[in-house]
Parts: sequence; structure tokens; C-alpha cells
Amino acid sequence: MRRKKRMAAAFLAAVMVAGSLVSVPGTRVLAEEKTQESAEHVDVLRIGTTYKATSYSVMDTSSAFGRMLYNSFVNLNFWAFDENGQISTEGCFFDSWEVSEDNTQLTAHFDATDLYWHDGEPVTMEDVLFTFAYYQKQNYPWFLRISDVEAADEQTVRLTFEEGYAFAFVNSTNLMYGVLPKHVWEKVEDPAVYDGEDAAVGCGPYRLVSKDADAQVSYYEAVENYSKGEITVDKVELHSYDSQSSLIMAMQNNEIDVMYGYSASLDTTLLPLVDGDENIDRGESQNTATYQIMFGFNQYPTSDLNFRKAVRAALDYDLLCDSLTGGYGEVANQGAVSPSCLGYVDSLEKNSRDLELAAQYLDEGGYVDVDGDGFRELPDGSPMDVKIQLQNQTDLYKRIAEMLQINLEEVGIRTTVDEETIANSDYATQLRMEGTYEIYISMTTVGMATWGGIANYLADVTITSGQHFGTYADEDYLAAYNGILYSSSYEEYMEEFGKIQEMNASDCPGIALAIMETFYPYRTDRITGWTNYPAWGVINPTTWYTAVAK
Amino acid sequence: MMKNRRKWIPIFIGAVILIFFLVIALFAEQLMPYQMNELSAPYGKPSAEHWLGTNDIGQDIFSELILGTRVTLLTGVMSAFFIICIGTGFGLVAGYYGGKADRALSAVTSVFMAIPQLPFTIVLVTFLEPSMWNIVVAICLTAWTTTARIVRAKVIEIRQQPFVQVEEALGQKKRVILFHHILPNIQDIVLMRATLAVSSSMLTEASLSFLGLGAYNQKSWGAILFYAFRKNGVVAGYYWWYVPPILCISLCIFAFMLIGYYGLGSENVQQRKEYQVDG
Repeated sequence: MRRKKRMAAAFLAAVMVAGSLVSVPGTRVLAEEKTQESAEHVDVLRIGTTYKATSYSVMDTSSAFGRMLYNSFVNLNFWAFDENGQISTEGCFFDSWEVSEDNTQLTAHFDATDLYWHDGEPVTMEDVLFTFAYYQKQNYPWFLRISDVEAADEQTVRLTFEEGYAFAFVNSTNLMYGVLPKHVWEKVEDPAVYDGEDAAVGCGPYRLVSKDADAQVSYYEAVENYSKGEITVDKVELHSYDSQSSLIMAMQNNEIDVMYGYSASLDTTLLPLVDGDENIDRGESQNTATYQIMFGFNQYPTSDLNFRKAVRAALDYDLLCDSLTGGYGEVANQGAVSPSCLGYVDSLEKNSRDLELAAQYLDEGGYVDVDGDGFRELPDGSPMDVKIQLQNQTDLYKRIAEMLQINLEEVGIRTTVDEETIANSDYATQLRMEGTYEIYISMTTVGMATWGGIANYLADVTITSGQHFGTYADEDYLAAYNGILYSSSYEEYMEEFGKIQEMNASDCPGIALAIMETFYPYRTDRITGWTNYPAWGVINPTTWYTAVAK
Repeated sequence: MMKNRRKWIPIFIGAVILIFFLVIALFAEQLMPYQMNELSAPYGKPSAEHWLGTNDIGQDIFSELILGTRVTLLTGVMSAFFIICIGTGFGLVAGYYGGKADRALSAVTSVFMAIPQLPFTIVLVTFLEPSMWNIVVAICLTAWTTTARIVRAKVIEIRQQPFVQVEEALGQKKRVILFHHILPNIQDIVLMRATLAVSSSMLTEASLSFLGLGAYNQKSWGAILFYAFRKNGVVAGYYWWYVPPILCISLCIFAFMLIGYYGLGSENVQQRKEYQVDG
């Protein structure tokens, strides 16, 4: 009996030893796989920005959280621009789209299999249909052009437009529009002020986990088994800083990995700090955005071609370029568009200073210094004092105004800066909405530069966002602008955009002051796989799937 | 003799510094190596051509500093003038007439004293159209109160003096007693308050301009600092841009303090210290 027990015990021991011998390698393999996986995945990506953490709503893009929505972060954008400036569906809600031949219908397909809102509800066609209706209800200009929305099948939506806007719609709704959870927003009348906890619910790769309002940090976690692809960054922290200098110092101290900003590149005065750290890459690329001046065609003498050309010849572009870009830029050509914009025409003449030519234009226009005070008078002999007006109150705009004043004074053009535009932003807005400005300093933002660029600011049209900037109502110019709006392919778009640039050169409705480089620095010692989008940086819709640990 | 000479040294130093700045302010255009419309390459480092380099739009910082002396000093002096006029006027009337006038003026003074000076000035400048005169108005509105309190207290003290009572007994007009007999006796206090008011006004102007609340295109030391800091001067190491205006502001205030403190006729140092409370 005892012998049997001994044999059974020996047998059990042998089985256990053998089992352990067999299982150990298996365990080792799993552990190795896990280690390898965690080595590839980025544990936490720390993003720094200068936007304040004021709200956490997928319908508010003004805060740090909201600005991150541009990158299909907490919620998925319909579609997005890729690094070449063309529409891509990578990392976006819709996986394909098609425009009808007459450009009035857009058919977009999505795959919502295993795609859930962050509160656990599945994403359905009902949400998609609700989204378009909701944006229309909120009077979002681009969506008001949609005459009908229907479900072609369970995962395909078809939009019908009153006119041929389908292609332009795709290219103009890439930044901040995503599908909304119907169960959250159907009860919200005014999304601009809604700040319930569920306002942060999206179907993007990351869910908001917690936020620290005092520290201005919010924390995000990748959605497990995400249906849109393997997320390689497990957690994200979004840190808000008061200034770019403190942000860069935090990056130097390895507190953040990357800087993010929309149309708000790092000031070039801070580049020495970045360059001094071998683990930080400048994240340099050419900007699609440009600072510009717009001439008011409803005012005299800015409506006079001779005057406008004289101004163009009088400006010191090298100085403007050095001042605005810190030496990291180039002088724009007369087409007034950045070379990194789709459809850029590089054959146009570069802006250059020629005081004699400026004087010649003024003489031809009849602007002569009658009383010998060094300033020219209007052709009828009355004093000329042109107003320079600023779109916003930042010190950079004031400095541009100061340089313009000095440059124009050299050819005898007296200018006055309308200080009301510095003190009162409503007044500055009123001027451009009514088209009553003379020389208006403004900026083509990155978002606007992607579709229509400076033409949005110069043509006398109310643009799709409901804003009005331009006063130039030349028939051909407006036709080219409409050509952009109604274009049904990139070829058509580029052709019309080329015409715009040629007319900018010949009619001078506005001047691009400098072509700038952008800098969105990021650390290179911990993470790799970054893709630097021009004028955008390495935080973009693909980051979550491509960034990997070193 | 030796003691007397020592007493004058700080006053002499203060006066020399002040005269230096006054001369610069008066002859700024002649002393500036470059006019403000002469632009060179931006962000230039100090060189033989530009002793303090160039700013973000290529203006010569040394010339800007010279021109800034005028605005900063003028703002300080003009503000001090109005502060002293208002403060002394209120103090004289309240202290001499007493009764209802004193209670009313003291109440007004207390109300204005309760307003936090710098935040109120910032709010006011924000709402007013930005200009040097509006900055002066904004500074004066609250800064006169300390002077009014001190002057009132001194006038009450002097009013009890026999020479004033004799004048009153002889039927002298109150206006004459106030301006011919009392005012000369408080001139030390008024002068000292004036010097302190100039320096505190200069500091307020610099603070407002540094916050970007100065007038457009107005060159002052505070405005130079504003742009130096906005362009990350400290972090980027542009010490030639931000150190000179700081030095100028400090030196100028130091000069006014020396004159105000040591130039006061009164022998009572303790009393002087009391007067300087609240700056």
C-alpha cells in the first residue's frame, strides 16, 4: 500500500517536473512576446500645447482638448488631409468616398463593425444621419448646402448637394467635423455651451480618462482592440502651458515629448533652445499659412491699381521676411500663396522692393507731393492719409503695421494705424464684414490655406464659414473663386487656383508678406515613427498608429 | 563741515543721474544715432554700428532707449504733477477747514484708497483709448490719496501753531493763511512726495507698457521690455535688449529716491521714513 502511494507520489512529481519543464519555455515565449510588444508600443505620449484646457467637448474646438480633435484623437474626423495636402481616409471615420460626375452627390462608406462610442454604445447609421442633420440645425455653413442625406446601405451614406459642391465639401470639412453620438447630442439644444461629462464621448482611438484643471493636464487611454487599427501609443497626456518658452523648457526637461499647435508654430527666437538639445528635432516644414495685407476696393486710393502696385513695390520684403520668420523663411511671389499649397504657381515674379518703380506708379496715378512736405497728395490735391487696419490685436500685427508705415513713408505715402482696430476687435471684424477697410493686415490660416487659400480673403464673397474678408469683385476673379468651389477634382482645383494667383500678380488685390517655415519640435530619444506633416507637425491623425517606442 | 559735505553726496549723485536723463530726454532726437524709421536687419547683436543691437523689426535699440527716456520721464513727471496738485489741494482744504469739508474729503480719500491701485489702473487703461495722457489719467486717479492724507495731517498740526492763530486773530483771509503761511511750511513734504510720485508713476508706466497696455508705436522703456519679453528675450539670451531698459528704470528711480530722501530739509529722519510709507 505504502509502495503504491510512493509510486503515485513519484509519478505525480514526475508529471509536475515534466509539466514545469514543458510549460516554462511556453511562458518564456509569452513573456518575450509581451516584452517585445511593450517595447514597440509607446507607454505614454506627452503632448504640450499652449491652448488652455477650458472645455472637454467634441463640439468645441477652442480648447486644448478641442484642438486635438483636428487629429482624429478622441473623435474620428470624417476624413483628413495627408502629408501631401490631399484628402486621406487613414485613421478617419469614412474609409472611402466618391463624388458623382456632376459633383452634386457624395457617397461615403464607413465600417462600424466593432466600433463603439466611449460609453459603450455601438456606432450606427442612425448616428451618422443624426450628425448631418444636427450640423445643419446648428447652421454650419457647409452643411446647409446639403439638400438630402440618405443611407445607401447600412454602412454607406449619400449626400446630395443643391449645386456641385461635393468635392469641395470633402476638402473643406476635414478639420473639425466628426460623427456625433446621437444618444448624447439629441438632447442638447446649444452645443456651444454644453459641458456635461458625456460631451467628451467620441469614437476615436482615445478616451478621456481624467483631467486636472489646476495642473492643466488631461489624461487619455487607448481604446482596447480598436477596430480602425492597432494603436501603438497606449496612453496620452495633454499638458497646457502658458507660453511657448515654458513649453520648450518642459521639453528640454523631458516632461513632454512633442509640441502641438494649430497654425501656431514655435517662435523662431526659441529655436536656439531646441537646437541645443540633441534629443529634440525642430519638426521643421514649410508653412502653408501666410501673413498678408488686403486692399479695400471700396475705399480710395486702395481701389486704384497704381496705388496698390506702388505699395507692392515699396515694401521691404527682406526685412519683413526676417522679422516675421526670424530668418527662417523666404520672400513670397506675386501670386501671394505659399509654395507648399496645392496648385502653387512658381513661375510668377517674386516680390521685391523697387522704390523708383513705386514712385513711378504713384506719379502715373497722379499722387504728387503738392505742398512739399514729403508726403504725396491725392490726384485732386487733397491730403492722402491711408489707414492701416489690423485683424487682431497681437503684437506681431502691430509690428507689421509699424514696418509698413515706415516703408510707405519712404515713397511719400502717409499712413495712420487705425488704433481702434487694436483696442476693439469687434470694430476690426465689422470693418472686414462690411468691407470698409483700406489696408487690412490679416493671415491665411493653415486650415484656409488648404482650400482656396488667400482667395478666401481677397474675393468679395461671404465664405462658407459665414465670414467676409475680401472686397475684390472682379468678374474673372469671382469666377475663378467659384471654379475652386465647384471643382470636382484636384486638377480642376489647381487650374482655377492658378488663375487666382495670376490675377493676384496682375491686379494686386493683396500681398503675401513672407513665406514662413513652421517648427513643431519633438523629442527623438524615446519615440520614433513620427511623420511630420507640412505646416502641421508630427501630431496628426496617423500618429496614434505609427509612433513606436525606440 | 565734513558731516555736511557727506549729507550732500547722495543728493549730488541723484542730481547728476537725473540731469543726465533729463538731457537725454530733451535732446533725444539729436543724440539718437539712428531714427526710428531707419531699419536694419532684425535681431542684430551688439556691434560697432548698433551698440545695443537691433530689435525684432530692425530698429536700433540704443536709439529706442534714448527716445524712450522722454516718454517714461514725461509720463512720470506729468503724473506726479497732477498727483501732487490733487493730493496737496485735498490735504490743505481738509486739514485747514476741518468739519464737514474734512469729513467729506477724507471720505472721498478713503474710497479711492480702498481701490487697489495697479489693477484699477490696468482696467482703466484697457477701457480708455491707449495713449500717454490716458496712462497719466489712469495713474493719477488713485495715486493722490497718500499725499492727501499726509498733507492733511501736517496741516492740522501747523494749524495749531501760534503764528497761524495770530494770523487768524488779526482777521487775515483764510486763503492767504493757507497759501502764504501753511503751504510754505509743508513744502518739504510736498517735494518729497513729488519725487516719490515721479518714480512710482514711472514704474507704473513701465508696468503698463510691459503688459502691452501702452500706446501703439510709443517708445518707452516699458515698451522696449514688452517686446524683448514677447520675443523670448530672456530665454533666448538677448540680454542687450532687456537689460538696458531695466537699468535705466532702476537708475532713474534711484536718483529720484536719493533726492527725495536726502534732499528733504527736515532733520527728522524718522518723520521722513513715515512719509515714505506707501511710496
